[in-house]
Amino acid sequence: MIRLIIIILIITAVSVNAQTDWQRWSAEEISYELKQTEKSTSNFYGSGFISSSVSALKNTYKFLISDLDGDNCPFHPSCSNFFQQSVYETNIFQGALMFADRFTRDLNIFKKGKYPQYKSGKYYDPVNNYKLSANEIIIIPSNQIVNQ
Amino acid sequence: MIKSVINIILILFCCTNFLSAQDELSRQLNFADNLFEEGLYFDAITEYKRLLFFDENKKYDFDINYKIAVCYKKGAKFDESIKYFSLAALSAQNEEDKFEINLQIVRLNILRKTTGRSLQLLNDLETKSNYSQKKEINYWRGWTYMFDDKWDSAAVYFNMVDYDHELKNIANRVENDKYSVTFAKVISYILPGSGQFYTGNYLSGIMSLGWTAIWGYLTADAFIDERVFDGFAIGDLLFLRFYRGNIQNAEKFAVQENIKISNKALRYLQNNYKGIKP
Amino acid sequence: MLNSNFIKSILIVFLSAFAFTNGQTNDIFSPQNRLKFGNSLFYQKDYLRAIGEFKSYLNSENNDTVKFKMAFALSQMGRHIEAEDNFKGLFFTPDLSEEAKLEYFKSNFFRNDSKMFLQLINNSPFIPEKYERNINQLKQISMLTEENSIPDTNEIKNLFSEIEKIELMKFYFRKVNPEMKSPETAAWLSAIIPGLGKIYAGEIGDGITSFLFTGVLSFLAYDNFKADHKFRAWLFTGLAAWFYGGNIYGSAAAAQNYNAGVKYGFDNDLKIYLNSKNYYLPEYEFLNK
Repeated sequence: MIRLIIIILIITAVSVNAQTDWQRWSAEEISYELKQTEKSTSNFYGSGFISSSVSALKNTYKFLISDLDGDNCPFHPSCSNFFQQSVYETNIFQGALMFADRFTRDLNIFKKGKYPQYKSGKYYDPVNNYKLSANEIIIIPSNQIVNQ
Repeated sequence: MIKSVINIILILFCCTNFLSAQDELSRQLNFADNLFEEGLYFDAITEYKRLLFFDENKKYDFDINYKIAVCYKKGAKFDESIKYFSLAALSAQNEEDKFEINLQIVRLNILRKTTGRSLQLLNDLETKSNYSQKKEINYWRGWTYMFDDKWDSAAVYFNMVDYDHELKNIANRVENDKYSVTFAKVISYILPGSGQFYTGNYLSGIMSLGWTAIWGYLTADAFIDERVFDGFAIGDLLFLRFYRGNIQNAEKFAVQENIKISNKALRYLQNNYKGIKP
Repeated sequence: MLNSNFIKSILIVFLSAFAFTNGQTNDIFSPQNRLKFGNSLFYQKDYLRAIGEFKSYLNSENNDTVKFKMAFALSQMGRHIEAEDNFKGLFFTPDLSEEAKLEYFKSNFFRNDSKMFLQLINNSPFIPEKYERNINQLKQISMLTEENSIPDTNEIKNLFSEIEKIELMKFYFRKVNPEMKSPETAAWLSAIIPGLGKIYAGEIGDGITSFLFTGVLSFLAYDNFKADHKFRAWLFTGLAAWFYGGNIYGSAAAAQNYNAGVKYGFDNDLKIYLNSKNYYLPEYEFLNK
């Protein structure tokens, strides 16, 4: 009887997981290596004068201060990256206001449950949600983990 | 006479057709095995499943489920692989086959880095195993601990397999090469920047030392001049920020360096080690 | 003696015939066996492999049920465009024409482009008579999901049962009267009292933080002006102005995020409900054979 139950469970599980074979796949080598701790991203945004200036300022800040004062920002992207990306995707004035709003939200100690979690454990707070462009807002439930 | 010959031919014809059913399955098995040998695992699974479907006598159940599981393993589809190994276990004929299947499931858990599950399975296996099987169990315990980045424990278990085992020596070497995270943090508490120096990050160490010195001096100066608010502001927002950052960096760099050391060993094991691997 | 010889001969002929036919079915790559194996894979939802077997079968045989299963498998795997092309090929078959037409529209529906689906329904001459009610149900559902459409309440009353009607009307009212917040109102409220706009948009913690932070910066500016520390006073004034502007901007953004959350919640709840009802679509017995 137990054997029958085990067979039924396995067959059900196999059926449910048939989705694996809905696309042809080939052999894959799995790396033995351990995952490195995630390094803070430092993307270069844009080629215009203002974007380049902001990038240079941000990189200087990162080298002199951010890399040394520890991991203080609870968000992903970090506040400096958020500022850089905001300026790139909008303009310096809007970017500055977005950063001010982000900084204020960072001060709120009751953040838990408001934002989804990024894979690094930080709160996921993308720039798209604050550009005042309704079509670009990314809604992710707060109980989900963002892997991208 | 002629009639007898015709009867014999017809009887032989009957026998040939009945036997060809089994030949067909053997041919199918060879076909599927060839696909497996060529690395066409997806197609091999199709042909193995076809064989399973037409094998009414369940003669090939164990072998085919085993092979399908191996195909899924080659494609890194670990969940499916475990399921087919479990199906193979149900049709295993003897204890050796069951043991082999369970070890395969352990190896899959090692590869997908569910090391807790791997250890649990090995503990269960140990209660039912004989002496030679215990050596194999300890061997895979060692591998589990290596994948779990616990090289000292791995060395202990490889030592049980063989006093001079190659993997024991590798594990011991890794353990000796690693930095002590606790030591890095402690010296950073005492002298900011020293933890970074310990792990070879000299520029970061010097800058950490510089910032904490500057803000520490300014904090003390503010308190000495009885500018209490300024003292608290500089002390909390600047001095403590960089002091905490220094300790975080000491830990972070030590952990990063240790991961590099572990990965170097794991790369060697994956690409150069000649023994049995997960 | 004649009788026993005769019986022996009959037996041998019978065995030969049996063995001959058995030999034919022993070929596991015969069309019939491919079909059997394909059906088994289809039943296990191993659709890609099932399609391969069905294709091989159809190379030598013509079978509308198999063609339907192939198209159905494509649809289940999310390959809707291919599925639709395959279903179109069955529109004029004698047995499965109506089912093929239903599945064609269903596949198009699951492409999640309500506007395109509604255009297709309104312009298509291929609405299946047997499943016209199901198609109209899908149409009303699409109007619930499509941004610029509102379902017809009379149609909802005619097409759905009492219990289903009650549930769908709840969604209808949620669509017609969404509890949205105005970004402009949020911005004005925060301009009057920093943080009030955020509280209006449901962000109470952020609103209080905004109020306190802007307040502290303003106080520091005032205090330093009073103490005649000009540099610090202007520094804190600038910071206060910056964060005041940020608070207004953030309130408008918070209201927009709130509205996006309302829409997301609606779409999600509707999807969960419709999945539980299988989108009011029939299941086919012949697919399990």
